[in-house]
Amino acid sequence: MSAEFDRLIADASVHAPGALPSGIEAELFMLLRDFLQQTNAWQMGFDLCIVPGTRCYTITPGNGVAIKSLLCLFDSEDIDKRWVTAASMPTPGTIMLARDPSLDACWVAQCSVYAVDGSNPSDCKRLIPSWVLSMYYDTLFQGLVGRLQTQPLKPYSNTQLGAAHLRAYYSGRGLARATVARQNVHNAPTWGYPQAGIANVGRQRGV
Amino acid sequence: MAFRTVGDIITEARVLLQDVAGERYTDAQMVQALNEGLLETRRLRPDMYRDRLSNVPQYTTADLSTYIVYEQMYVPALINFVTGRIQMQDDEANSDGRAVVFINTFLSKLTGLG
Repeated sequence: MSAEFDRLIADASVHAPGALPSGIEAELFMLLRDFLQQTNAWQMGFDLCIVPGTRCYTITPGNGVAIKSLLCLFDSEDIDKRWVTAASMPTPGTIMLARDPSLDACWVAQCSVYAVDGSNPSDCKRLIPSWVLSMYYDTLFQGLVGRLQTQPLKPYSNTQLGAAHLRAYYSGRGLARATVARQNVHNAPTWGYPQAGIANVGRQRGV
Repeated sequence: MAFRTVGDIITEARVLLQDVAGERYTDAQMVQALNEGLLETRRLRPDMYRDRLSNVPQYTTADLSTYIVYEQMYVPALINFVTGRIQMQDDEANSDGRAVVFINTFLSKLTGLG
């Protein structure tokens, strides 16, 4: 992560003369948080040991990582990764099953996550997987420069140019969101057969 | 000359003030101007004090050899402020016009391309 991270900081410095490296890092941290929350690009699977009669389960990501949303809940032995039952996540990290499970089982909660350790923005070097920066480098660069240039009263302030960079970022973020929804498969269909136990249309589409 | 310490910045400001020997202005006056410059920097560029927004460093004459917490690329702007602030004093050696030029240079370097 570090090389790509440093390269992005250096590239942004060229487009924002006078910007402090620590200030760029802080903007990058906020940008990555927005990007990951909006695209669900960074996902993690959490094992759940299902116990009959228990409907509420807590999952805990690692230090500095927060859960954004529950993407799928599937049986660990199901290679198709289909939803096993309707579930919700009223607060991040707390999974509520719609019905009491009847058997012991091992399920996997697939969740989208993002970095939250804002006390030290440099930590996104450590927390966020390197492929996120590699894969979406141009989009993140546009967003980073756009955020810097729309800051008030800085040597690098440029509202018009910043707005143009941010438009490019929003466009790239939308494409990234669609790509993630298709699981990075080129020309993959966005529809799917109805899944048992799920009434949510968005989930059926894989969104 | 590398600008590392409080004393380095004051020495450079004295060059612009034509007071290299330190006969016209005391160190206390110079350090006070420097401290005001740091507070102005905090007001104009809070990103330079992101980790210490409510605790901007302030120095005394005992800190002349202390490493100054200030972004290196903006040290010339701070020197301009110190010079301009000292020039604002009611003194026969000073010029208000020159003071305004230095202060405006400080402002434009911090908030524009200067």
